[in-house]
Formats: sequence, structure tokens, C-alpha cells
Amino acid sequence: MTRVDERMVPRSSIGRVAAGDERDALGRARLDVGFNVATVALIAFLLILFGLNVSEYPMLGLSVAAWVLVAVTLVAALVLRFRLPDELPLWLFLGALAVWAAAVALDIAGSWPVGGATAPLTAAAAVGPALLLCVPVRPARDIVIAAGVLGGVLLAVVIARAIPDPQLLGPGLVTVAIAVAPPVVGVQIVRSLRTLVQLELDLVQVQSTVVSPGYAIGMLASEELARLDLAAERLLDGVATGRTALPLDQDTADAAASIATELRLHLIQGRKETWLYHAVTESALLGPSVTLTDPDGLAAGLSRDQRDGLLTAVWLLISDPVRTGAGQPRTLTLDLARPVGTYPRTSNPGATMTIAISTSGVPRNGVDPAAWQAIRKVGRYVESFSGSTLHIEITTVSDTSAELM
Amino acid sequence: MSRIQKERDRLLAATARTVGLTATVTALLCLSVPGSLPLPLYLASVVLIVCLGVAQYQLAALLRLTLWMWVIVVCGLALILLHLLPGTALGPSAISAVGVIGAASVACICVVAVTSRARLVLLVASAALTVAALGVTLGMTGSRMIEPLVFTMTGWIALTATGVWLSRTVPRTLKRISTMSRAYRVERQASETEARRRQSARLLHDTVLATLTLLAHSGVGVSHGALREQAAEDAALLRQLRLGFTPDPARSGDYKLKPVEESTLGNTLESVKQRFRRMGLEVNWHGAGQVLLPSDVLDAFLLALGECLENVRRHSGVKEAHVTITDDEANVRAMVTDAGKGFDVATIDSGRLGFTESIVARLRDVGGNARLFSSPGSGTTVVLEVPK
Repeated sequence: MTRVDERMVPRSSIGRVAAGDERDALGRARLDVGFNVATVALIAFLLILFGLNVSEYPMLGLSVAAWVLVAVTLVAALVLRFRLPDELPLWLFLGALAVWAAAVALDIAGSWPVGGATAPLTAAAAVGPALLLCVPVRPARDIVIAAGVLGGVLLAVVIARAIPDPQLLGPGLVTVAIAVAPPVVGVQIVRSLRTLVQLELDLVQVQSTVVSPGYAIGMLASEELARLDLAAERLLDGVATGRTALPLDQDTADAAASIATELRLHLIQGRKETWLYHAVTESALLGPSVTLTDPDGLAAGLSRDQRDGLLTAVWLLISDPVRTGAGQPRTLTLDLARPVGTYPRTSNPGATMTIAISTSGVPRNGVDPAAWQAIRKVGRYVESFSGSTLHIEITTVSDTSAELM
Repeated sequence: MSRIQKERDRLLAATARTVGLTATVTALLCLSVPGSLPLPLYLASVVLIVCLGVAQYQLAALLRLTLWMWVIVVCGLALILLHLLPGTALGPSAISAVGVIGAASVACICVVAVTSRARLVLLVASAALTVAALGVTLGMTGSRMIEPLVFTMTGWIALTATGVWLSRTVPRTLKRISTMSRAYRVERQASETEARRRQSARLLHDTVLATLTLLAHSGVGVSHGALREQAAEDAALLRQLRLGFTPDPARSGDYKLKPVEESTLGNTLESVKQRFRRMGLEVNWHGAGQVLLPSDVLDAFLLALGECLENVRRHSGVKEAHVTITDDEANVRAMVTDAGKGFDVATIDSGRLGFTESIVARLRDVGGNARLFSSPGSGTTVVLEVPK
């Protein structure tokens, strides 16, 4: 599974709610429509196939009954679609599966070859495309299991029927493919789309640091400071109103000491971290995979465009395998340093810096061209491969008029 | 935009590849059923199927996409037309094979073809060619025609629909996400402003920290009444801070609107004096009382002053300290002296957090400095200096 970990950095409630809403709404409504067209087309074909062979069915009544069951679930799905919650309730899904299982059984019985008749399985195969409708509203595993069971049953039936005449195997296999492929492909699409959405949300969040001050407090520290202030207020209030007895008992005294220590640290340390540090630590994707070394806080001196370029490049380099569905994010190290031979405190503190990026497991020609384009925004660069490790060294002249806060 | 397009194409191509390869494998299985094709033709069809599969696999790489699409179309058509060669009516398996090749193996290109006009032409042309090839093959061999033809048309319709919907959904989704970047930015700014507001209230935190520290040490040397009074004052200030005000006895008006606002030193010094009096240290002021300082400098200055006086209170052993404020054109200076025990400056580790972090670091933040003079038995003098 390549799904990006949902465990995002806790954000304030506004962000969380907005992100959640978006994620739920994203693509679902529209995917539904897309899947509907495909479903209806495939089922229409199967119905035509049924019509063409209607005279061949040994027990036409059973197959017609199977079709009625499938049609009922389809109509129910189309009617209920807008009234259902985002996730189809389990009992409803199981109910649909039960109806479909009945339809499969009826169709198999209705088309069972008696005396050389070769009636195709149609209503049973139509269950597969019908399952496609459930793809956006049920977990992938449910769909895959249902499709697998359906495929297994149909395959067994097809093989059993082809024993007298192997030539019948071909149409049977196509039937199985029509039943199994649509839901499985649908699952793949929904999964890719979900990965894509999560990565984009992450990128968007990361990129919001581009316009933040060079040295920032970060979303987490800000919440922490508020929390400490509140804790201090409660404690002092307790003392002031006399609810807390003086002198303080050991626990409360310890609490006061630890609040004071933390508060002091937060007040002093607040601005020692650069925007880049916050971007990396707040990102679910970059956090675990990027190692940032920037002892002098040089990143603060980068201009807005340079920041955007650097973040985009790092993000593209890391996320490539996730986006192609090939695997886990790559790890990457990012070192910011003054060029060798420069005194630490020149007259122009932000003048030049070298940014060394190295990441392993990148195929030689597998770097997204957009990454190079982004790096060009940061500065001049030289790239080299040693083994499977890609080194990029960027030399940048940063904008000294950039906000240095 | 180009990145959005790329993500879209990637998803479309991955879908096309899955659909195409599934269909191609099905077709291969159908053709492999004994009696579908004479052996030489079967081997030829296997070669074509391999080419078809390779081309479909290559789709997801997004390189030379149109070329691979043409390879798929040509191989698929060749596979269908190959069934003309036996010259006899096709069996059920062979019909299924050509059907599935027409309906999905070739038609998978329409998932990726919907993204550009040139490829749409390719889509329409190859759809027509596929139907024609199927019609010719099935017609000339006298095979059953209707099912494979309907199947093929269904495949093209369903896959084109999928392609169209996907190609619209992805950019729309990504654009919607990118509009959220504004929300994130605003949120970040708000959180930054909030943190800054809280951090800027240094004077307030200074007194809160002092009170908390006193409380933690069981308020040694301070009466319970005074401690309660101080706690009430600090709790009220924190409450104001929480409710969005920037309580600061030294300032008036909304400092957020006037970030370089200057305040006078005099009335602020009075509050420091009050605070230390409660804790048992009498502070005597000498010198200039009406110095104007930018608020951040004032904060640092008062904080350093407070730390110095706290040190006097704790360590000097005397109950009185003198603060002399002087100023010239460029600087404001405060000399904090006491007649207490004093200590040997050399014995103090220069990295000791108390002095460097609290006093020197904050003064340096605003371009100031601090110097320490002391020797055992003759009191301590600290000189604090900040620019005006």
C-alpha cells in the first residue's frame, strides 16, 4: 500500500475541518458520475447479449428473475445515492451483496446448459459493473473481496461448462473479465486519486510557509504558548482566589516550576527555527523523510521564489515513487551552509549559501523535469550521481532585502 | 498548471495500462484455447500480443505517449485482421478474443486520448478502424458479428466516458486544493500573529514568570497576601491576553497598528518598583525618568532590569538596590547597584543560563549590551545599555 500516512501534524480546528471536508468531497461526486456511465454502458451490453440469446436459455424465468434483481439494486442505488452518507452503511452493502449473490445464483441456474444449449452468463456478470457503483463509498478491501469472490464463482462455473467443448472457454473468460475488471480498476482509480489528494494537501500546507517570516514560531509552538499561558493563568487564578492554599503543595509547586521553565524556553527559543524547519516538521510527507541541517538558519535569507523552488523540488524528489504508486517516499538530506572560505560574519550576512541535496534511489533519468525547473529558481546548480545517490549542489545568492525577522 | 496536467496524465495512463493489460491477457487466454487458431497463426498472434502488452505497459511512463498509442492501435488491428487468414468461420473463443481486443485492448487508448485534440483525432480514427477491421474480419469469415461489434462499441463508450470524467476530475480537484493554500496561509499568519502577540507581551510574561518561580519556591521571603495580590494581577493580565487584548501597563493604544510606537520609561519603572517592593526589595530610582524608547527595546530593557533586580533580591543579601538611569544622544544606560555580598566574576561560568540568556541575549537582540562588575564583599554593579 502506498497510501500516505494520515497522521498529519495537528492543526488548528479550522484547518482540520476544512481539510476533512475537502477530502471527503473531493472527486467523489464526480467520480460517481463517471463510474455511472461506465456501469450503465457495460450493463446495457450484457442486457443486449441476454436479449440476443434469449431463445437459448434453458430456464429463461430464472435468468429474467436475476436481471430483475440486478435492475432493482441499480434503481435503488441511483435513487438512494444522494440520500446516503458518504460511506455506504455496512448493512446496506451486505444487503446489496446478498441480492447480487441471489442474482448470480439464479442466472447460473437459469443458463445451465441442458442439451447442448450455450446461453451466456449475463445477469451474473452484470453484478461486477454494479459493484463499481460501490467503489467510491466502500473501503477498497470490501470491493476487492467481493469482486474476487464473484470472479472465483464465475470462473468455476465457466470452466465446468467448458469441459464438453473447450471452445466455450473463451466467451466464458471474457464474461469473467467483464465482471471482475471494472470494480478492480475502479478501486485502483479511487486509490490513486486519494493518494494524489493527500499529497496535494500536504504540498499546499508546506507551501504556506513560503510567505511566512524567515524565522517563524510555527503553528505548533504558537498553540503550545497559548496552552502554557492558559495553564499559568489557571494556576495564578487559583492562588489569587485562595482556592489553592499557600504555601503550595509539592505537586502544584512542581507544576508551577515546569510551566515557568517551559514558558521561558518558549519565549526565548521561539524564533530560532526557520520557515524551512517548520515546513519540514509540519508535513506528513517531508517530516519523516527529510533530514535538514541548517545550523546558521541560512534558509531564513531565501526569497519567496527561492523558497517556493526549494520546497517544490524537495517535494517532487521525495514524492515521486508515491505518486507513481511505486512505493514509499525517498529519504533526502538537505544541508545549508556558507560556501567554503567565507567568514561566518561577512559584511553581508545573507550573501551566498550552498544548499546540498542528496537523495538515494533516484533513477538516473527519473527526476521529474519540474524539479529541475524548481531548483533553477533557487540558484545555479550542479548535479552528480554516485551509485544510486543523486547529489545536487545549489549555489544561491540570496536576496538580502528579503525579510529577515 | 503543467504539474496538474502531469498528475492528470499519470492517472489516466495508469488506468489505461491496467485496462489494456487486463484485456490483452484475457485475449491471450482466449486465443490459447485449443482450436482457436492454427499453430503458425497462433505464434504470430502471440508476438503481436506481446508487442501490444509492451506498448500498453509503456503508457504509464508518459514518454512518447502518442507513439505507443499508435503501436497499440496497429498491433490490435493486426491481431484482429490476422483472423481473416484461416478463411473459415471463427469459433467462439476466437470471436471472444477479437471482441475483447477491439473493446478494451485497443480501446484503452481512449482513456489517455481525451486530453488533446490531436489525440482525439487518433481516438476517432482508431475507433472507426477497429470497428471496420472487426466488421471485415467477421463478415468475410462468415462469423457471428453482432456481439463482438456491440461489445466493442460498449468498450469504447465506457472507456471514453471514464477518460473524460477522470481528465476533468483531477484538475478540478487539484485546483480546489490549491485554493485552500490561501486558507492555510491565513491560518499560518494568524497563528504567527497570535504567537508574536503573546511573545511580545514580554513584560507581562516577565512578571508571570517571576511570580510562578516564586510560587514554585513556596514564596520564600514574600508574604502570602502579597503573593496572592501579585497572582491576581498576573492572572488578570493573562486573561486579558487570552481574550485578545495586549495588556501591558507600559503601553497605551493598540500596538499592533503602531509597531514602532514609543513609550516612556518613567511609569513603567514604577510598576517594576511596585513588583519588587511586594517581594521585599526596595528599588531606588535615580536619574532620567522621561526617556522614550521603541517598544521592543523597552521590553528588552525592562526585562533585563527585572532579571538584575531579581538576582539582587535572591543573592545579594540586602533589601535595597539602586538603579541609575542615564541617557545620551544614542543610548540609554541603567546601572543596577547593590551593597550586598558580591561575588568573584571570574568564578561565574560565562555560559550560565541566568545571565547570558535572560539578560545579555535579550539586550543583544535589540542592539544593546550588559556588563557585570563585582567582587566578594563589595556589592555588584550591572550596567545595561540599549540604543534609543
